[in-house]
Amino acid sequence: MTPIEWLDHTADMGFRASGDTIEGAFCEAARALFSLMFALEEIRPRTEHRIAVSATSLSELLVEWLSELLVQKELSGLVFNRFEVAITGKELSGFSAIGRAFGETLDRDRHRPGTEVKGISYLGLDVSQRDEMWVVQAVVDV
Amino acid sequence: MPTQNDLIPIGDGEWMVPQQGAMKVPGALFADRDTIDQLTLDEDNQVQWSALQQVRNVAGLPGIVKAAIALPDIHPGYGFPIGGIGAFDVKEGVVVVGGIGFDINCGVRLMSTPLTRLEIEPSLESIGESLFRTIPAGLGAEGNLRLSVLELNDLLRTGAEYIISRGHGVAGDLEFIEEGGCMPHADPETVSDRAKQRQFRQVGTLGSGNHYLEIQVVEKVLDSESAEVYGLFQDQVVLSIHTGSRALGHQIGQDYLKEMAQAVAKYEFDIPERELVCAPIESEEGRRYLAAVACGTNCAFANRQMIAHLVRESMQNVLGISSSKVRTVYDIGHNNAKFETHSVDGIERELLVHRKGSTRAFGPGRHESPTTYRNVGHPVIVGGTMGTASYVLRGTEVGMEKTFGSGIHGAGRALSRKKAAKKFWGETVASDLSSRGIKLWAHSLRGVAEEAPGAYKDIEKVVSASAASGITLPVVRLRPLAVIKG
Repeated sequence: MTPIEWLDHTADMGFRASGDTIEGAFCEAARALFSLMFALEEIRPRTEHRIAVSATSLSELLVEWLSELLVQKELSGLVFNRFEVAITGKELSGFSAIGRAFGETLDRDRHRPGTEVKGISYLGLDVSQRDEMWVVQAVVDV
Repeated sequence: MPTQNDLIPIGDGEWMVPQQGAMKVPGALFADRDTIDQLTLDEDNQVQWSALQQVRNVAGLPGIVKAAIALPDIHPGYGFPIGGIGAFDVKEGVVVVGGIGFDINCGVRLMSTPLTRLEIEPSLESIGESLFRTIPAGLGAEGNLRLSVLELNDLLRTGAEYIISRGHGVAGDLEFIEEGGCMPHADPETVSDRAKQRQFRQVGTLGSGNHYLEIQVVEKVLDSESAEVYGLFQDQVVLSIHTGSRALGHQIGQDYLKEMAQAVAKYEFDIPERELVCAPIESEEGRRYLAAVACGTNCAFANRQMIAHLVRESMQNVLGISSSKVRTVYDIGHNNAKFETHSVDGIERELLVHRKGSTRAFGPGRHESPTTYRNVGHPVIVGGTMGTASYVLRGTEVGMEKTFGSGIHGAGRALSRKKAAKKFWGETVASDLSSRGIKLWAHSLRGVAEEAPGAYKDIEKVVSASAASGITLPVVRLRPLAVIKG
C-alpha cells in the first residue's frame, strides 16, 4: 500500500494515508495536506514548530491535527514537509497529539504554491486499523 | 440500489426525488438530461460520494421546508451538494455548517467600464500586467491593508462600508452589493481570536483555486431590456472578481464544525451524515454561528470591495479611466444562509435559506434588490471557466416559487482536481488560451491545470438547463479577455 492514496472527489480533495503506526499515518496525512499546497521536495526542514491538539475521538483528533497545521502555517509564515507526532489517550477520556512540524519560511518562488486548503471537512472522515496498518482518511476543501 | 426510475420527471429540466426513508421532504433537481443520467450512473456505480445521495441527506434534516433542491451545476460537496439549496423553518429548523461551507460568502463582483473591446485591446497586456502585479493573489500572498484588532472588528461589523470609509471605494458601491455590503447581525465576539489572527494579513487578497479576476467582454446580449437596466451593452468591457472571506471564513467554518458536532449530541439530532452537523436556528449555538457567518459575509464583501479599489487604481493608472466610471454592477455571494420571506403553498413564511454553491436569484419586486433593478430582478452572476464564458442571468417568478429564488453559481466541476491535473498541463492550458486570444497571468501552473476549462461542465448547457425550467433567464454572455489566477 502506498502511504498516500488520492480519492476522487469532484469539488474538493480526499486522501487516504497509511502507516505501520497511527503516528505514521497521521504524519503521512500531514504530508498529503501540504503536498496540495507546495512542492514538498522544495522545502528544507530547517526549523521546527510545536503542535499540540486534543479531541474526544481519533477521527476528531485527525481533523484537529490537520487544521492546526493549517493555522500554524499561516500564523508562523512557515511551510512544512516533515512531521513527528506522539498520540496518547483512550476512548471516553479523550486523545491528544503532541508533535513537531519541520520546515522553513515560505518562499513563493521556490516553493511553487499549488492550491490553498480552506478547511478539513467531516466527510468520509476515518481512522482505522486494517491488516496491521493504520489508515486515516479525510476530505479537505480547496 | 436506487435506479434512474426513482427520479420522476416533472417538466422541462425538472425532476423529483421521491421522499423515502428518513427524508422529510422530496428532492427537486433542476438539470438537463445528461446531468440527471450522470447523477444516477454515479449512484448505480456506487461512487464514494454521490451528489444525489447528498440531496436525499439534506431532505432528512429537521425543519426543512418543501424540498431539498439542486441546480444544474450540481456536483458532490461535503454535507450539501454544490449547487444545493435547503430552506428551513426558523422555529423548527436548523442551521447547517455543510450548507454554507468554509468559504463563507464566496462570490463574484461584476464591474462595468465605459470601454469597448476594441478600445481596450491595445492596452490589454499592460492592464493585465498591472492587475497581476498589484492584486495580492495565490497561496501565501498578503494584503496591503494592515488593521488593528479594533479595526478588524469594525470591518466584521460593517463589511464593505468599512473599506469605503478608508477611502477605498466610490459613492454608489454599497447600493449594488447584496445586503448593501453589510449583514447587520454580525457579532465579532462570536468569531475566535484565531480566525481574526489569520485574517490580519489577508484583507484584500484574491486567494487561489477557482478564485480569479477577469477582464471580460459582453459577447452577446440575450435580453436587451434587462441588460440596459444593468447598464450592460454589446462589446462592453467588464471586470469580474471571484473571491470570498479568506482565512477568517475558513476558520469560522472549522471552529463551528466542532461546536455544531457538540450541538448535535446535545439536541439529540439523528442526522443522516456526520458532515451535516447543525444546531436549531433559535438555539444559542445557532444564533452564535449565524452571527459569526454574518461576520464572514461582511469580511467577504470587504475583501471584494478592497480588490475592486485596486482594480480601479489600475484602470486609472494604465488607461486613465476615472474610478467613478468603473461601476459596480452587482456583488453577490454563493455560500451562505439567509433569513428570507417566501410564499410556501400560498402562505408567507420566515425561512433560513442555505445556498451552497448557489446564488440568490430574486425575481422582480423583491425589496432586497437595488431599487434600480427591482422591476427586472437583480443580476445573477455566473462564473464560468477561464476558457469559455461567464453569464449574467436574472431571477424569475418561477424561480421564486420553485427554488426559493436561487440560481446557479458557475459551470460546476466535472473532473476532480487530481484527474484534471493528470489530464491537463498548466503550460498547455495557457498556450491554448493564448491561441484563442485570452491572456493569462497565474501564480500557480498546477492551479491552472486543476482549473482547466475541460475540468468543468459545459456552461452553455448549465445556463440552458436553468432557462428551460424557467428559474433564471440569460441576460448577457461574457467572454474572458484576460485572466488573473491565484
